[in-house]
Amino acid sequence: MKIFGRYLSAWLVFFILGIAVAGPVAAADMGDLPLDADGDVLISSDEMAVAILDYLEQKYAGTGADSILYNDLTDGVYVYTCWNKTAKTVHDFSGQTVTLTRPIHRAVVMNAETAETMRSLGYDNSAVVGVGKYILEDPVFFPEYVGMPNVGSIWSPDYEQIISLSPDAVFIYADFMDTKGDEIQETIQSMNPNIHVLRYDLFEPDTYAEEVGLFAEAIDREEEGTDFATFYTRQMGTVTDRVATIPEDERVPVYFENADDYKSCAEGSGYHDKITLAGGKNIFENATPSYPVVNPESVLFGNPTVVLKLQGSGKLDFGGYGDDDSSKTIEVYESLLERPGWNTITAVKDGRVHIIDSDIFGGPKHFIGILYLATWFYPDVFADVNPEEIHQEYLTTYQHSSYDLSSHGIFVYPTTA
Amino acid sequence: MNCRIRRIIITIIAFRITIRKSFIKTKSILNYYMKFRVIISLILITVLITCVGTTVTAAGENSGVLFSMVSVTGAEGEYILSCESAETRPAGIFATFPGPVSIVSTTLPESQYRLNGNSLACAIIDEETCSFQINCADLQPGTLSILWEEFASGLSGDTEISVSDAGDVAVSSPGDTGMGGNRNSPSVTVQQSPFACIVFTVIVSLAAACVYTGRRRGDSQ
Repeated sequence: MKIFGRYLSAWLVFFILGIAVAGPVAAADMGDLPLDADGDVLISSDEMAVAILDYLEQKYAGTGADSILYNDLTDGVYVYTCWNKTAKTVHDFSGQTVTLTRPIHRAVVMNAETAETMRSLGYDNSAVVGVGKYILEDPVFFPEYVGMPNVGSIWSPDYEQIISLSPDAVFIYADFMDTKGDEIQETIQSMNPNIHVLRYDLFEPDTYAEEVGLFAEAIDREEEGTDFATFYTRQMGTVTDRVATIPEDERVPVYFENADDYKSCAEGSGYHDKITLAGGKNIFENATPSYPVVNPESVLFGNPTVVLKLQGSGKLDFGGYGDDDSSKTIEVYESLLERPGWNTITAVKDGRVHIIDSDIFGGPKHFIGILYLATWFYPDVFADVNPEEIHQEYLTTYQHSSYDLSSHGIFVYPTTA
Repeated sequence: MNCRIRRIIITIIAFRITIRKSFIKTKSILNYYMKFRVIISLILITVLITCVGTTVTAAGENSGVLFSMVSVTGAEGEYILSCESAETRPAGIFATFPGPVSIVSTTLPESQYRLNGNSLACAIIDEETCSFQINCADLQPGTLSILWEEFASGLSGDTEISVSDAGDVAVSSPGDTGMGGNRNSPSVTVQQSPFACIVFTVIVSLAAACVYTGRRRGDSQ
């Protein structure tokens, strides 16, 4: 007894530690395949029958319906009928292989690219329980998420909010700000290891079609994923196939400028890649860093054949889906033409200065911007391509939106080449 | 479904009345209509049958569990209870009999049903149909009440099967209740629209009418 008393405090410490360790282990058990009584990771018809009969007897002849039993049963039925009776292995774009043992009932979507692609795949948004700050800040394009809990941004995620929403899965970026993505994933999973953190970028032209396939697999929209990826690849193919026939030395010199005056792009930036895809030759491709602020005289010296100006962010935060008034865009356009010395630039002399909105030059809609660029760079080669028509098809068929481009939005200026 | 059939019938009756009214004044047109009224009626009836047939097929294939019961000839108190499940299996069935029941034979494996006094619970998993030969002396006269649930679609419903003193079996299903299944389950093949079928039937019927008219004209000349 004396020895027991002496070591009582030690026993207590071990006991508390045991409970602390057992907690997460017990929680991890929730990730097992529902109805899989023998643990062989396969729901047999006998296991399904036992669950159905237990449920029926409990509901109609016993104590009434048990919600946990019913949830297990419906999840088990989903796995049995949709996943060929076993867990589903999916892959995200960060290289993770994730095993899903139940369908995703509650999802948190941090980035707008994922929310938009979800819509392209026909995913029912009733499963989305929380969204990122930037999705909520775009009520014209994402009206379905107005009033939904805000989980913050990739720069400042609201972890408490995310955990309080009890999601089955949280969707974040894959490689965009990669260390930040890792940090977000680690923090979420340290708070609740049962939450799947699935990572997709869904904005890069080189990988978008592949990512759509992976993402569609994760949310059980494989058929829709194939259909949408075919549409996307067809549009991109229209550009890349025709551009491939244009010799390198015949590519049009292009000057690109974002919302800040003389802030251009170079190799390593997304804008440069899109210009190159559309067959343009970026006059500042070799500049450093990726987004260099260039000397105004070097633009005159570069004498671009086409000038592109980006609106929709920073100082030029207008245009796009949420704007029907083109007066500010026209103002920007006219100020470009009046810049000192610009009347000597070929692009200005030939009327080939264009304003493009970030709504169609970034994110999943980058292909629309690339189509516009291609038609501006090579009007004869792309005479049969109408980017606005393709944009409307994307909105109507894949975004399931009633947004009418003929009466709304400012995406490019001038509207005709 | 009933609304749809009623609407079609009303449309046909209205159409016939309109034709009659519009033709009353012009004797020659009325005669023309009277001459081909059989063919016109045939076309309308064919369209009606096609519509009803397609609707019934669609209703049967979409979801739900259908039941039927017949008494076994020469075996008093014995019945064959059959059920047919739609594509949205698995489903569960809970049947309550008016008295003690025993199972003579069944197409379901033993693991998929439980008999407990007056109640029978069974699970339809991969089967499209199943049947039970049961013995229940209290069923004549009596009522068997059946509750069913589909776990993929979230649909549930109930059916009552009554046996009269004379042994006549009557099945009544008041309707289904949707609880809403997983809306993000992978897409399935969509039921084909009956429109194409109706158009085909109308074209074939009109072609037949033209051939018939041509022959009649040929005969009269």
